[in-house]
Amino acid sequence: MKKRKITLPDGRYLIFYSFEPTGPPLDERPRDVVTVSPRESEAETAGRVTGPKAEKT
Amino acid sequence: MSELRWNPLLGEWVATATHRQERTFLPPADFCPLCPTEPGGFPTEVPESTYDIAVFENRFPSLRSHPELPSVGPMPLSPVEPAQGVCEVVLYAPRHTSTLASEPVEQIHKLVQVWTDRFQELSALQFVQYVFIFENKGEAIGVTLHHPHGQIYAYPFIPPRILQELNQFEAHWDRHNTCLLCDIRDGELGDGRRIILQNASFAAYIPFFARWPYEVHVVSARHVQAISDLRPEEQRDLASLLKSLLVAYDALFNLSFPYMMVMHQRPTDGAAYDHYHFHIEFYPPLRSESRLKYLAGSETGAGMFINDTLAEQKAAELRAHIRPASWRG
Repeated sequence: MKKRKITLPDGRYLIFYSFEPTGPPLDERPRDVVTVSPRESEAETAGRVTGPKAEKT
Repeated sequence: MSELRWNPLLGEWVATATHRQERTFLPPADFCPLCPTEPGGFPTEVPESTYDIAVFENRFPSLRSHPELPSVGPMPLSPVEPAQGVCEVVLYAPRHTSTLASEPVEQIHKLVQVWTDRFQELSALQFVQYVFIFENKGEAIGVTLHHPHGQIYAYPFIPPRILQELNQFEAHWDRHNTCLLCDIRDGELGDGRRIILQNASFAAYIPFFARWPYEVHVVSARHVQAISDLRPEEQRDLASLLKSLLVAYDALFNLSFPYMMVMHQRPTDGAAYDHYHFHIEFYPPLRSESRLKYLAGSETGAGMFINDTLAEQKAAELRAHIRPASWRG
């Protein structure tokens, strides 16, 4: 990501962001969307998306 | 002219910004101030066209980094403060006729990175306590310019809605030793009926307690507090999920779906907010193809929303239009 900041005539800033052409994905496999059917059992959904839960230390 | 006036009845600030009455209102496409200036054309806000995404200070801001003095003195119970802060406009693309939904997922991925950069830069300002990233889309929401864009407000205080949410998170953390939104998200995933879509890093659902018919919450799988905490693969997953959700919104009634999109993150006042959880909320005002949900007496005067629909039914409608985002790379 490249960032170029200019000042407009009235003193406000304007930032242009430009990116290199999209290269290969970060991982080889596209991270497709997965939908969940309603009433899917808890066992089926357990651990699929849930990350580590926050716990107070 | 703008200033902050304290509302002692509710314990919150109100911004006055009288100059905003003069802002450009629904100009014809040929005179869009957010389009790049054409050679020989009228000067717009953006003098160049060679960019992916552009960000600039709002010409009609409610908050300024160097604010003027208030126009009036305080009342006994209502202090008045200069309206210090930052209001930015984020141009999603140079193309006037685009929307975030119609942009390729690669462009949304770029936007996620720009949002991250803006959060980091604005949160470093000494007078900023909260960075609020949002989009108002569609005339039904009251947008005055159709060029695809969002906004960022950097407030000098934690806004009341966020404060209320923070208090709920803290109370839940103290009571259960867990994150409130982790628990809500897990409950939604376990139930499944209101889930719209999910991927490795995010889940999107209409919450059990939705206030708007097609309200959707996008919640990270990992317990993080701000967009700047996301890893590169999570930024990609957020872009994928947003693309699929926005396309489904547009497909629902075969129209460009109006919405408010708001990003809820930790405050930037230097305190620790480990109990908080980053998420994005969508509030579309449509309750059917041609009918709007209005914030009337109960919602505005009492703060109690009445939702005329069932979240389970609305989620099924939206879910039927979900398609995977297609990456070129």
